[in-house]
Amino acid sequence: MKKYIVAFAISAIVSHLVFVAFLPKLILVLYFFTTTSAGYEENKIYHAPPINASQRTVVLPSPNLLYSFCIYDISEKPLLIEVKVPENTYWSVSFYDSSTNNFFTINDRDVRDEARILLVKGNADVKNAIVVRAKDEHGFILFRTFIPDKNIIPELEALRKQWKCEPAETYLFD
Amino acid sequence: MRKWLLLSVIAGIAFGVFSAYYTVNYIADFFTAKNGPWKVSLLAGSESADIYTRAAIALNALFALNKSEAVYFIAHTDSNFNPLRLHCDYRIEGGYLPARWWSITVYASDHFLIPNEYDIYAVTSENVKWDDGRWTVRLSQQYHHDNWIPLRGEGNFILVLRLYNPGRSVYESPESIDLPKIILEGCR
Repeated sequence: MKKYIVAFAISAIVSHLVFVAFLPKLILVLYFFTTTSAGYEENKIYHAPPINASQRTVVLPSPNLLYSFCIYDISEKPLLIEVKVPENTYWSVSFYDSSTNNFFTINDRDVRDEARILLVKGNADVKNAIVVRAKDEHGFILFRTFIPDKNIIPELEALRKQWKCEPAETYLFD
Repeated sequence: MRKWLLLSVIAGIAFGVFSAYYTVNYIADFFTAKNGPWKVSLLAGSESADIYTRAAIALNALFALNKSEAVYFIAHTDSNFNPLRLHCDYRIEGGYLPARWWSITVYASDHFLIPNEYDIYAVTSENVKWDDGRWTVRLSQQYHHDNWIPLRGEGNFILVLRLYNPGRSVYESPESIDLPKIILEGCR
């Protein structure tokens, strides 16, 4: 009888801790699976339409933000992000690792006009970009732009169409 | 004999997963600061969040920002701690909030937006109408010309108050800042 209780207790404790520790990763994997099976490719930027009640992918979406995103895989090449930063409104880009940790965020107070960000997995000595070091090779980048007035949505849409999120070319390291 | 051992392990795993799910939500609530009806987890989006809080955030607020970028207050009740109901009318009264900008958004209990024909789900510091340094927002199934978020359907709802680029007081002493009051006006 004692060994059954021990087996129950050990498997309960281990499964409890494994479930809690890996739940964020599991949710992100499911999210990636959903997005990639919907046709979204890695290392490419996508612009979600303005949020309304039909959006049911991520919980608690903000209807006051325009979201753009990029699923990254930097196992082969670093990732280059180039953004024309909107004027006179809040803008930010946040980096999440495969456990949903928000390991880096930059906003329009930190950078003006244009942001050039290089996401690397190791070290990089680069002068012409902000270097962000990722803890793992896969993750998610989320761009947020505040919509202070619905009338400026076309202007913000036009601006974000110029944004890039793509594998970096070697010239950046010269 | 071996069969009973296997059953013990399976039962243990089932209990472990069930208790993990329950504990994630319970402990996340325990590590939450409270200010009237508003609750906030200051560990949201932070790398220092413990595994339980991180799991709860992944379940309830995936891709949350860290506290210097945004702080998220959530209310499940009015200021008298009664659950927020979609068939009732409320007014939210507030004033200046220590942040670059803020928004208040209504969500259904499943944490998604509630469809309405006006496409209005939130108010922000930029579009709310101020009156002598104060503002009042109506939550109701009935139409209001401005400062209004439509409620639709039945059941409970939640409110999320987002403060972007908040002042230090917001995340250093969230219990003592002056947050909006949520006042029940009546039910249908």
